[in-house]
Amino acid sequence: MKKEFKHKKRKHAKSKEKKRAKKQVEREPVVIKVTPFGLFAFHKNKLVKKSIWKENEAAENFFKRDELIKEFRSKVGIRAKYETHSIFGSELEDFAKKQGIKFNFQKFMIEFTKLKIKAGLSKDRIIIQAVNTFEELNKMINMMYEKLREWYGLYWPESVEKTKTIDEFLEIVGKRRDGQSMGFEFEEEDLEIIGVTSEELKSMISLKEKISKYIEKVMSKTAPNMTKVAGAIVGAKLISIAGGMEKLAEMPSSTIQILGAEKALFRHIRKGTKPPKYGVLLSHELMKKVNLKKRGKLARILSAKISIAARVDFYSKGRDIIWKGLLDDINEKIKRI
Amino acid sequence: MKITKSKYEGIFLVENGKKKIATINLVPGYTPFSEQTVKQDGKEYRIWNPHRSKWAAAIMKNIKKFSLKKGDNVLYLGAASGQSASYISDIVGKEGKVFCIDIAPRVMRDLIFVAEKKENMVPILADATNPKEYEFIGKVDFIFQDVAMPNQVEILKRNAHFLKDGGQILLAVKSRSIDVTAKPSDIFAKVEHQLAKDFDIIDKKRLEPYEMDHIVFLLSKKVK
Repeated sequence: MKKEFKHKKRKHAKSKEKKRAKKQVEREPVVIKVTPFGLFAFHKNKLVKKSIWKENEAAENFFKRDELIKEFRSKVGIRAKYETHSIFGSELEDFAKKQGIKFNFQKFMIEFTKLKIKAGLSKDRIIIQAVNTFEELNKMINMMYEKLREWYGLYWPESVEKTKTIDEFLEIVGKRRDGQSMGFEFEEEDLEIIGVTSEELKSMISLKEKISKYIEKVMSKTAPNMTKVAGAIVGAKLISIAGGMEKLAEMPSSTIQILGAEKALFRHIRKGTKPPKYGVLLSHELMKKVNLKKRGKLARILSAKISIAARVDFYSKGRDIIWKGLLDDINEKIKRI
Repeated sequence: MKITKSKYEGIFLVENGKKKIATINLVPGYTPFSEQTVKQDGKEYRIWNPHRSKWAAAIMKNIKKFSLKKGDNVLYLGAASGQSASYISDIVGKEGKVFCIDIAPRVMRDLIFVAEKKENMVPILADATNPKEYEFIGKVDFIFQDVAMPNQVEILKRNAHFLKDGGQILLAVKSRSIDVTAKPSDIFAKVEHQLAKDFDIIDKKRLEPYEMDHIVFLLSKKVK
């Protein structure tokens, strides 16, 4: 009984020794060569393991190479220091030849750059396009309204004169006149085309509302604090001029204050005219409530809070909500200007 | 129509009343920028518009002969949509390569479509102020730089180590991207002074009437 036990013990010790030998840390480091076509582990100048990527997956794998290198390291199974070397250029060409791999660097770079472009895109890109279209549409509506006013005014100036807003005008435009008028006699076809044009104008207005609602929806998801503090459209315009959420988040509030007034700013720098007080912020809803002389000060207050909102929105990815405090601050400060 | 060789390799003079320059299309039939083409002797020439490309403008202004040739590897900083780079690609041909660096994803999107057709154009989305991002391209024979940044000279210095001995550089400088308030001639003099420390200035040409307030320098690295 005792003998057997001893024997067992010895056996156990032996296997332990073996394990220790295996686990011994190697002095020579393992070198992982990272290439656009796969990973290669070298130990003592010998290739010990390789993982070659398929051509159509190469760019994607290279893009997430850090992850794959970790995985690959665990598979090599040698206890040693690991070094990673990326190889490229003429060294890469030689290496590919040695490993017998056909590799098209240009095609790889195209696919890799595509992934980089994709990874750089985010929701704010859509907001920028939407608000730019919104702005352009707004201009188009105003221009078309002006033209149509003149056009229909040839026929019934007395009625056009009475309308003050675009909505009022759209109510009467294209209607047949009654009573005396100093207008020109229109034929049926002259009047008809005005009717068709005004219908187009109406549909442009309804499109503008749709886009506006859309911007509000997307903005309150991606930039909830900015949406409350700046307003959806004003916030979106700021993002657009800054060139993205990240850039806006990195801007000082003094820059945000005059975003949209670049022309006036450069005129100031070049010719020494007065510097602008506000740009896009002029269309902020609070601006209308403040006396003209105080608008510069309000722009300063708003931009200070908007810059905070933009940072919170960008870095918390729209998760943290702090707009209540910011609005309170704004209202408090308005009382003092 | 008369097509003759110019003093620059791979660039041809097309005379049809007006003088124009052109390159031989590497991918016949493919004109991504709706550029004019001229066919003669089985070859398709792409007209290079000096109003759209600073290098074409510099050539029209008769800048000194530069060393760019077939088979060269070229580093192109600020390639944008690849319009000018596509002509460089024609010149270096299939044996050469044009590494097109730009930081803006939007223009790189357009460049990718061009590179998919022109197989010697390598798109690289990277920042030219940080050459480490594309160190892998190795040495090049020629550098084109057209970046609208205030620190253009500094960027060139950081990228100069890519250039082989004897290689040349074409550098386009837009005075307004350095300082909008100063006089262009003052800025160009300042830039020239900065360049003179590290580069030999072979030639320089203002680009009027093709581009306002622009200058192109032809440079080589100083031998130390």
